[in-house]
Amino acid sequence: MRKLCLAMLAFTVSVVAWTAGQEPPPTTAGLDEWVRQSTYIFRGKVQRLNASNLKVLPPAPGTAVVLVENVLDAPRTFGDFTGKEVTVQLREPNRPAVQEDAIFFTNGWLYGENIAVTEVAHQAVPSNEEELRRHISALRQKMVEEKLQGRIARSTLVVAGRVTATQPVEKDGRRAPSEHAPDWWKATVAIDTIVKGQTTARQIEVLFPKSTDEMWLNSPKFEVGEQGVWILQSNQKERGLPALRVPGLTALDPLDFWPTGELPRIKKLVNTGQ
Amino acid sequence: MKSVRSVAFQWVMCSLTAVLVGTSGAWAQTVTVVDMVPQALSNETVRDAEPNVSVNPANPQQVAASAFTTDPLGSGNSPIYVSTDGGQTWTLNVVFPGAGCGSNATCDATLRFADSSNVLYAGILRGDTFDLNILRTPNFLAPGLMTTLVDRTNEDQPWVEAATAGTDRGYVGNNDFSLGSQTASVILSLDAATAPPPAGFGPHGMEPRGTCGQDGPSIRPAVHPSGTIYVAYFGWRGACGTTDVVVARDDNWGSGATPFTSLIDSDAKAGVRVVSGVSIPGLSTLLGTQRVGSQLAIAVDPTDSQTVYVAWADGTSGSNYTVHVRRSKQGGATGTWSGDLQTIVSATNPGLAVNSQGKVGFLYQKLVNLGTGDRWETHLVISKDGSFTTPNDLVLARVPDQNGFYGGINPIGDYDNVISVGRDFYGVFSGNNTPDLANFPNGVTYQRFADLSTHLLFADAAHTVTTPVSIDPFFFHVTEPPALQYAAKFVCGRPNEEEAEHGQGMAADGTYFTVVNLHNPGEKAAPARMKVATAKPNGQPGNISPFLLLTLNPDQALEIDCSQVRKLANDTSRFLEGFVVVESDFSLDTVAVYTAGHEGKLQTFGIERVPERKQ
Repeated sequence: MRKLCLAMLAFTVSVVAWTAGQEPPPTTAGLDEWVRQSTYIFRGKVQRLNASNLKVLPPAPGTAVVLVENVLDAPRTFGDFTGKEVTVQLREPNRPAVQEDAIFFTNGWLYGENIAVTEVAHQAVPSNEEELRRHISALRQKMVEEKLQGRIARSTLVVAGRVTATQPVEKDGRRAPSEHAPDWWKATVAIDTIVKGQTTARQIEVLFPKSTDEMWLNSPKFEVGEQGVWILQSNQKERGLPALRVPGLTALDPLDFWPTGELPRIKKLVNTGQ
Repeated sequence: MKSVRSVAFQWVMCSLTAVLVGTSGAWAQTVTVVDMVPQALSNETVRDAEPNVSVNPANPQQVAASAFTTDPLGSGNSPIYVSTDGGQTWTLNVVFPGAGCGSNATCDATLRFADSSNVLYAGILRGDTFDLNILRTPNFLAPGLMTTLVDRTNEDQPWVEAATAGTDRGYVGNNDFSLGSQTASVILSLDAATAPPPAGFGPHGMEPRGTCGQDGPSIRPAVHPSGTIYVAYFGWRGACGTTDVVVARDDNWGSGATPFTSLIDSDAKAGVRVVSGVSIPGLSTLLGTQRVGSQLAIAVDPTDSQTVYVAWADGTSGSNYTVHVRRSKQGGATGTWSGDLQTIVSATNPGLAVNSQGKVGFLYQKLVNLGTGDRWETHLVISKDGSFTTPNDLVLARVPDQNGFYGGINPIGDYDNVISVGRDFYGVFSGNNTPDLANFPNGVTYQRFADLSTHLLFADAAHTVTTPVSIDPFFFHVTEPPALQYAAKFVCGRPNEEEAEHGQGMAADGTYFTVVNLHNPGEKAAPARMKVATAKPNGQPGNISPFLLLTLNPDQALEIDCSQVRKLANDTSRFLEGFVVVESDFSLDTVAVYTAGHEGKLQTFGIERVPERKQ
């Protein structure tokens, strides 16, 4: 139903856009690709062409100052630029025209006294902007699920359980070889449920970096009594300097450990991927 | 009527005496400290630590810097800081590939402009793959990622230096775990600017001695324009609890088959041990909340390739972790190293630079108020002659070790740095960003919304939403005056006739002219700067003009006459007197020629050679 609505929305905007001399909107697939390629999407009105509101960026034929009228998609931690002017590096000079409203699909470029973004694409403003915002939001959620599914696909074992013990991995007597040394610890996890993979053991050892060095800051760290779902790789080869890796099961990405309440969601993703 | 000739000569001679007395001892150093977080990101609370800065020698208004800073829009790549006004204001530009370290940033990063190509090079550990990348861009403001020249795995802490000698030369110190136990390495290229990847970059192991299984993480190159390249590294020995501080040298850009073997130590191996077997704490040792264990810096005097300085830290614990500075004036050869020129206890993150006058800038961060409100004090110590006997110690910051948004260890990062371009020192350090002038003894400016009276940060211009304090990078710029100064008296125009007739006013009746001639007797181009300081009657000081930059090529001469003086002083007064002040690092022949006429006839003529004064 949502796809149908979006298709109708696209058609309506297409007619309006043609009559206004603008580009027709993309197909849903095209729109989704723009969203995937963008990190900042907003409705804006072009104020000045060949213009810039950043000191480091001289005005040029490809730059325009655009008033942000409504932000449709941005990271939550990013400041609110609604009602402010931003500089847009246009894909094509002079499009959109001055005083024209458009939906801009962009990425961050310069952040100074103001911000400059680079345009991925723009389209005419749809009659139902809220519908577009919901579509983008849904796609963002889908992208998160895809990323999680990617983590699951890389894993050898997905289990739900509880940490019963933690202890440092025995070292060879050498000091830490790098500021990025992970300081490996192991958590003993009593398995309640096996979601993916096979093991006959009732408990497993999960290696985790105790280090809070920037290379390991985001990796999950475990405490006794902690419960959750682990998405585990065996003998991982994706994080840390190879010289500092150790064989074993790990959950090093922030997406590799979830509260137990997320078990149904992860089970569903595991089943979807099989 | 007085004799115009005698009055004029008396007056000129008195003025020249005043030059020697009145302006001696001038110290025109300026210090600028800037919180680099841009205004548009006033709500950010990221730990922007472990910074590095580079100034484009071909255009010192262009400055680039790195830190653990995230792309606010989460592109999956990471930004650098860029400035086009000499570091007064800053903007982020997303150019580093990858993100994922810390708050989703790059891991270790350093960057450097080459001398004249305008090309910016960077060495990073990517935040997503953790691979060492060597990057390049001909335009550090352009959108899009820098070109990846090299992608290598299993290497740590890239530290890039670059120079131009016909072609761009790049040197990236790094700890290469693929080399077995002798891990100190430099990846170098002799033609880095335009060639396609890998642009000539190739690895060279540095360590000829046995180690405890590896060398320390810090490997630091230093480049002299003559092609002399020094590399300092920690040769870890024993059970990795002791280290040699080793300096190796190459005399031809590292171009030979066995580079960095110009210095042979008493054990017949390449690389001289400045100190041997000193204790170092493990890399998880804390000084305050800051991780220490591998801090090292090296700099070569641009005026003398044989004068080299090295700084390192050693100790057995955080509390006795001590930074040392030593010097060799004979190319780092065995037995030529001084004792400690500086010894700073409870300190870390040394940086070294030598400017075009041979002055040495020594940067460090020291933990003070131990146990009673720990603070990081960031110092830049400038020694005029490199001996540090009477150094100029500038405290750039004295900020809390820890409070606010970031509560983890390693708040300021494993390094900072200082560099020189010409006479000036530029640098960067990280620290707590509480906007309190008491924390910055030499002043500070913020771009992000900050109230220096209430010591609060804000997310908005209206100061309605506060932002927690966090760790920010701080840029600093210390200008040093040129080494030599010439102050030539000028007198231009005609005084009030009636006053002159009655022996009053500023000079005898007549029309006065002054011409100042400059000549460069040297064999190098001599950049100089000139200003005009006008004098007013009745003991009142006049105005001082901005500096006008000029360059005299070898054996060139130029003339500064009254019309230029008036233009620079922006003063159309009928009668104008004062000083033309010329400053340069190069010795110039400076001669002032004075003439005065009355009733259409030349009445007097004088020539004075203007003395040279060292600043």
